[in-house]
Amino acid sequence: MLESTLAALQLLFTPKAVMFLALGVVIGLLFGVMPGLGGTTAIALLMPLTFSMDANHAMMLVGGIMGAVSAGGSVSAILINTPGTAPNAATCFDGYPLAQQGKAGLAIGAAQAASTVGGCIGILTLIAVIPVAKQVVLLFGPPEYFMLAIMGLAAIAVSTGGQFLRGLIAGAVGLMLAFVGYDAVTGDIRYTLGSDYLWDGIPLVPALTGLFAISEMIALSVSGGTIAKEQVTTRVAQVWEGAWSVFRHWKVMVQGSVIGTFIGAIPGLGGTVAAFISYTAAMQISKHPETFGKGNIEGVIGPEAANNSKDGGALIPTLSFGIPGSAEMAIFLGVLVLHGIEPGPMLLIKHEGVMFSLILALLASTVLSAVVTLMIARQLALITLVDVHLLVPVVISMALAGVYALRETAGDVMLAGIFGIIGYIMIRFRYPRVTLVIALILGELAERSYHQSLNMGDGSATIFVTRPTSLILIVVTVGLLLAPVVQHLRRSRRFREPAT
Amino acid sequence: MLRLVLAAAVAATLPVTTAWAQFPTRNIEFLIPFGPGGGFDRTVRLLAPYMEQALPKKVEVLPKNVPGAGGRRALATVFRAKPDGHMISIMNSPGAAIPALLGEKVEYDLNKFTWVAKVGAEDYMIGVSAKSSIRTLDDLKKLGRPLKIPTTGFGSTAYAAAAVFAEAFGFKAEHIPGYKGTNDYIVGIVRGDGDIAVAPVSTFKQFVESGAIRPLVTFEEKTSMPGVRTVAELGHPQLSGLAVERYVVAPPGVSANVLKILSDTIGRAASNPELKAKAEKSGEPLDFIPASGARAAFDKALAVYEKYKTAIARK
Repeated sequence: MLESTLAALQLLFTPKAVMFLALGVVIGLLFGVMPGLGGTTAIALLMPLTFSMDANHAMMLVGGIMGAVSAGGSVSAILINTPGTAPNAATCFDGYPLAQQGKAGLAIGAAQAASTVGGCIGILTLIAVIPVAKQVVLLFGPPEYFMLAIMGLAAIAVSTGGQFLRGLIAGAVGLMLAFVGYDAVTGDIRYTLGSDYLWDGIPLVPALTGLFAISEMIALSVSGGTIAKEQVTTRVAQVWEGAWSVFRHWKVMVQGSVIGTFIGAIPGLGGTVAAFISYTAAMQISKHPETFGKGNIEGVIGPEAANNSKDGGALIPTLSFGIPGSAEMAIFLGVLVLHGIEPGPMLLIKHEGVMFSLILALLASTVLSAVVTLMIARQLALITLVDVHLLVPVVISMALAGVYALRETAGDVMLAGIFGIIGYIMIRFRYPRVTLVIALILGELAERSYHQSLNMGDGSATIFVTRPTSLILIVVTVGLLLAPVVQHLRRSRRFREPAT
Repeated sequence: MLRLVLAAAVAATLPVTTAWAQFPTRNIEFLIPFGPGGGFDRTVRLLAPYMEQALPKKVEVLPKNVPGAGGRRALATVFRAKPDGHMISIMNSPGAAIPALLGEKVEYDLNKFTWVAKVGAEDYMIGVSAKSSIRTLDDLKKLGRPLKIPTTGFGSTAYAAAAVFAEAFGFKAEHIPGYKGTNDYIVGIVRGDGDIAVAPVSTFKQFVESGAIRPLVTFEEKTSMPGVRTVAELGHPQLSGLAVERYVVAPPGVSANVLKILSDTIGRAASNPELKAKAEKSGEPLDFIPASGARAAFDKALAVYEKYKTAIARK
């Protein structure tokens, strides 16, 4: 294993490889910063071009893109409250208020540093896990996926941000939307209104683009003015201060990275769920949870660490068994196959060198993309000074164009528009969109895994407790749900004692 | 008067001859009913550049992914397209026929498509976890309970093949649909979620190599793995050749001349030794049958599934 690492390292330093890596980083940043486009689109569009390339160079390109996309996306999230990619959505919650307070540089610096460290932790975890990757993947089957989905849904209960009832309602709506489409288990077709468009369910990228990007643009044009309400101070010092804050708030950063890696490794979940759960978790361990949503830097660090570490995690099932850990990984497998590399259990044995090229490219990209973004952070922050009536039409057209580019379906654009309106209504009436999104994404996984488990267990639900991993997850979920109750009891007891 | 008739005659033949001489007049769109990265995607992307070389005029052959609705979206699109030969699609058999077998309504009619060519097939195989004690079909029978068979869903070709297998060999089957992809459910039986998995031989190869899967029975005519019996040897020759097949189809009503050009182009591309080598390397060997034989090949393959229609529809 050491020789192939060294061989891959040697390759990394050839001019051609560096060129492809740099190209990937630039493309990743551009696709990331534009709402509606993302890593999956970028790799899918470039796939035919990689056909004639050497496999290692293709890995440089793809790794470069994957590592850079959410770094670019965080910039849009912070500056214009519009996530460049869905996993950056949680970054808006505190990144944008910081921009409004004129602290855009601080937020961008923190986001980049968190992305880099998170990405590195994810990849190091991957490298550490590789020898036992197969066993790890074998531990998690449908019953375990169901429990994990339940755990994620339980996170909704604590991520309502003070609007408990509204959060649950939004979550319920999300669940309802999750069940639209063809059900692989029963063969039923639900609520597709007779057309094939909704057959695969509500397409996530257009829905999320509408829910976060378009709705924010509507809100922005209603409020008018410019984004930065206070003096924009993006002196270089601020940007570096933001980067260093990541190490001061190291607990949130490490927690976010671990969450991201873990969730990324579960096929069917992705960066969006990872980022939201990391945000929720950051809120939970904070001593001042009420400051979240108003410009708490930890609200930027947590999700950004998670949405980069997820790449390392997603590679675990992808490299060990050829099971894509995320949509990006699915396309990535396509690139491999194009180069005659068959994904499956022999991948790491037969093509070690190429895989290490990818891992090194990913590592290099997380660092490179942060450096590039930090260098132009000051100029980027000036966007917050542009009048919104100029900004909004540009962003909406870019977002819708990006959504259309995904599948060349007009239906996607209309769906984005509809969700944009829904999102704006939710903003106005203060319904949290986070819970709707988590439910929308997890609902499908929960239902499918539940039925799979029942089929496996001959119709009996005891399968959830007879499998050890599943049992452990049940205990953890119950623990997570009871933790705030226990905390509350402890705090009230402490207040009572001094009186005696 | 004669000049008028002559002029009319020439004018009448002109569109036909110019149409034929002109095809293709613009780029040809080659639709793929699935997302990028799968076997069908690979086949089209491998074929496209060699088709461009073999066409009578210089145009581009553009692979276009149109995923959705289990492949039905692309087929519906090509079904409704103009039959001038500039839009064709690759098709999955028996996948495209299964909705009809299950009694579902689809937006295309397989009987009306223009069948351009067959380009390949991947035979199915049945495997069990290497950790299990099952080595023969008798061992399966001795389990004394229904077989648990994980698949991606009730519309999938693997599910149909599994239903056919169970019915023909007299097993009761409990299907566990919902896995996300072939690798996912193969790992599922390695994990112990189910008893057997049905998948193309080429997909199983890596798992057999890594020692995770033990091959049990193959649907190939001649086994490619030593020691593995074929369904013919085990008494069911009618199931021989059960496979995922790839066809190229065009909208209904394509003219005979255009059809010939398309079919010949694909044939010439498929016999290009460079392409053949590439296809073998990427695991998708090409097996070309021209337009004249494509429909018959499809019907022959479908006949097996038709025979076991009730088993497939039973879910």
